[in-house]
Amino acid sequence: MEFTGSTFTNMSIDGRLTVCNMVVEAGAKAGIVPPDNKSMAYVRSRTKKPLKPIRSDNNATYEDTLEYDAAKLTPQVACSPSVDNVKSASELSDVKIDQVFIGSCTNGRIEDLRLAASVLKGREIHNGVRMIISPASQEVYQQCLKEGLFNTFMEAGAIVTNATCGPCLGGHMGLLAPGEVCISTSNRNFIGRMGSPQSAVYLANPATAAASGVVGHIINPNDLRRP
Amino acid sequence: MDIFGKAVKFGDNVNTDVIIPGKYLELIDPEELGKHALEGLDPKFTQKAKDGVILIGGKNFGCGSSREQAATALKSAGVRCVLAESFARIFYRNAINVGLPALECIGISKKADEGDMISVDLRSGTVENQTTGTTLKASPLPQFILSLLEEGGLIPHVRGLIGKR
Repeated sequence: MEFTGSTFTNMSIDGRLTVCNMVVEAGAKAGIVPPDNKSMAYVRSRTKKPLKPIRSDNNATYEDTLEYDAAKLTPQVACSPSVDNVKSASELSDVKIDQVFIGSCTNGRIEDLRLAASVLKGREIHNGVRMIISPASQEVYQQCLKEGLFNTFMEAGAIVTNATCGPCLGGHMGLLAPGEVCISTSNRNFIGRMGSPQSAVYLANPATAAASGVVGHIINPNDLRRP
Repeated sequence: MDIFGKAVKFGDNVNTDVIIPGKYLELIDPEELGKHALEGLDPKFTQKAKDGVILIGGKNFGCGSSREQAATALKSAGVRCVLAESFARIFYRNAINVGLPALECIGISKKADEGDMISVDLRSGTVENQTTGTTLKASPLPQFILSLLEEGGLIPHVRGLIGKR
């Protein structure tokens, strides 16, 4: 699956990685954003090997082309129990949550955690809700420390963990009990994914997940009242 | 290569989280993994499968996490072959690599019911429902995959290659 257009040329590498991570859930073999200066700078910061970017041929044929006006999209949520069961966050205010998980290979990069911090700054997590935040790597962890993001998270009442997959796959921490609901920034919400087969997982971006933790139900982060 | 067994049937989008939940991924013994195969969808599955079954799936069988334990768990539980309308590609590759035959068989979810006796000829792709007397044609597996399956999967296959050198 290839992504083009001004939304993607303007998007950071962190954002592109989130989108390309999720295409596998749609059955794609890989997610591709055509390489540009941003991607080259990213790769060069990680290797000294010579490399040559590869682009799709001008006459490449595509099975299907879909166009979206991203400016008209509001925060979207994949409702339990499948990744394509998508509704707008604003429609889901009656979904009460017990847990928030912010992290994973999908949304645990520094930009994701900055976004979560911008929502949580000066706010507190709703009574009875637990929030687990896991940086996706040691590098992201160190950057969070430098920027003071962990202070913001902990002042809001969140738990910060080591860099781990952890709760995403019900591996350890944050296991859901029967009847519990979690809003998670990870990539899958299948039955029993994060614990009990009687629990439910909703997938969302870090701002939506953080804001939902503040009010105790799913919310469009743009509707959050000023702290 | 003929395979026989009673059909155990599931619907569309059977994902690897329900085939083997994350909490069991620390198990490394295939037998132990097999004890928990599909327990979230059907608690009686392992009992049904223990004497050898043909698993029937709908569209997009094995979607989600790439965990190879999903295919291992099914094989250990007694699944002799998976027939589905379509497969998620990662599961499909994992299945072949662990030595579990998986064949795309369009129409199978309508032509087989739970408990029907099914036979599969892996070489030709002929699938016969012996209970109803209907025959379907699945996509046959190419020779190199058949020999890989005969050897028991990718690891025994590579061991064989290294041994030959």
